[in-house]
Amino acid sequence: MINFQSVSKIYPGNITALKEATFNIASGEFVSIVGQSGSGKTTVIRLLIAEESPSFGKIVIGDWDITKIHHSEIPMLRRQIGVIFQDFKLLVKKTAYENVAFALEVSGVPSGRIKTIVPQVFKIVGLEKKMDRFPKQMSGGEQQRVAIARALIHRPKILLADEPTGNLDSINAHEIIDLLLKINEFGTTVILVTHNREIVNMIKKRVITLDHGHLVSDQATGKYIL
Amino acid sequence: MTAILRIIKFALKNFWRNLALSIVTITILVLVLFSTSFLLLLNILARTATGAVENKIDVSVFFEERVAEEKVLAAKNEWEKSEAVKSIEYISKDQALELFKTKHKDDDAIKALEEVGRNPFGQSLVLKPKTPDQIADLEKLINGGDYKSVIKQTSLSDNRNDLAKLKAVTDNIHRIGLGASIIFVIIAVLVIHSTIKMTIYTQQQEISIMRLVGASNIFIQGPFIVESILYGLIASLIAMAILFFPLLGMVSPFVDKFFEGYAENIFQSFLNNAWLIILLQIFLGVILSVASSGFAIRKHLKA
Ligand SMILES: Nc1ncnc2c1ncn2[C@@H]1O[C@H](COP(=O)(O)OP(=O)(O)O)[C@@H](O)[C@H]1O
Ligand SMILES: [Mg+2]
Repeated sequence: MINFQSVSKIYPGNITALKEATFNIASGEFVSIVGQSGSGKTTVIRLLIAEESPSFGKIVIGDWDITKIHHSEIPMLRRQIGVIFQDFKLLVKKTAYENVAFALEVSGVPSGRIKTIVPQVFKIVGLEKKMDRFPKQMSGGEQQRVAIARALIHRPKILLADEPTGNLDSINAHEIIDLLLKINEFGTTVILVTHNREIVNMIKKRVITLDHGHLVSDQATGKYIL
Repeated sequence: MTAILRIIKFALKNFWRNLALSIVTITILVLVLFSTSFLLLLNILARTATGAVENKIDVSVFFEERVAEEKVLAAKNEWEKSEAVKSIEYISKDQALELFKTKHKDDDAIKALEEVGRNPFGQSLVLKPKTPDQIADLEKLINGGDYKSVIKQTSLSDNRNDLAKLKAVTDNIHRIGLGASIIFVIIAVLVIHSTIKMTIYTQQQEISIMRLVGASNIFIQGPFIVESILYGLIASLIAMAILFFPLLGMVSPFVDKFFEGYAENIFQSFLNNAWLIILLQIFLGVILSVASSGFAIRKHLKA
């Protein structure tokens, strides 16, 4: 499903964020990518959504080589990969519903379909009663769930989560992780980037560890080793 | 269709959100359209006026009363062969009488005519030169030939001085108008460019989220293009409203006085060219606006 073949990323200023990383993620897997701050985790996410292109190596998603993807194809790629972040990235002037609907509007989905799909994903994330609230009127955990609803709206095969619990207390964090696990059970491939030891150890699934851009360990049912 | 409506909706939102900027942008665009329309109007006017003045440069040749019609027509035929002649109009004795009557229908001259009891007018030919400067050639032609003995009188209507004056005045206005237009165009390009840049800047968050969720490029760039089309359209409507009604109504009498007798009514000549002017204005307004925002989009909204 996701294939990194000795991928290196060197940012301007000769900063090596990722060094010859090679790994394979199968469809339906749940993989945690861990490592200290600056170890290259976010860079992996950016490469996957073609926000950056690799300096060396090759990235294949499904049978799609995105190493040298044309910029006109990027929207298609992003509709197949949902992403959530530590800071939620919700529009504060829109309600939860509007935030999610927005993702469909700007992809040209007809209004009728938007009205049926949006409530469905809100049901998946358990917020069907709070769709009309503004982000400010919701807890951090709820905001992250709105972000998850938005990430799922195109029914992506892959969900990327870059430190999704970084801004949440441990109860909310656990709820988000549970939701990600549930989404994974439905068949979506989930990649979770985190440096939260407790969470990684609780999940008991595959763990890829990065250190200064090097892939230092890849364990089937891993623990946080650094 | 959904896409187009949605893009227009986003564009209108941007428009309202930065209303002050939108108004400034439209105002400067109105100035551009205004000055260019003025320039266009002046061109039309100058052309009509110059044409009218040129048309009034001619030589009238009055023949002796007793000369036979054949002889006059023979003269007409011969002169028409000359390089300098554009056209010759033949005026018979009866036509001359009619012309006199209509010209003096309100005064006493007509009574004097009645006292004469017969038609005292001779035949005449009106010669027009191809170019105003060939008037001298016409005089040579008339006085140098075989018909000198049957010509009673020639009368020269030479308006070349007027023509030169007219040219000087319109050239001057033209130059000022052109200068103003160029300055306004430059200001407009800068203003529209920075307006769209500001709009893009205030939309940073939306745009990055659009990218993240896989928005098509037309949804990202489209609203800004539509917004600039909107500026162009509104500006051209306003410019035309001002131009066609209050301003033209006010200015028209003065200009008419200035060009008295030469140009047709300025308002009328403007109306006759209304479609041309409207289309040009809309075209210019929209093109200018879209081009300047295009620069901003390409620079600040790279995919
Ligand atoms: N756009 C960039 N330009 C230059 N250096 C960058 C850029 N983005 C990240 N880096 C550097 O690359 C390294 C890896 O960053 P990142 O992938 O964000 O790490 P992590 O997400 O694990 O904290 C860091 O040293 C960071 O400073
Ligand atoms: Mg990071």
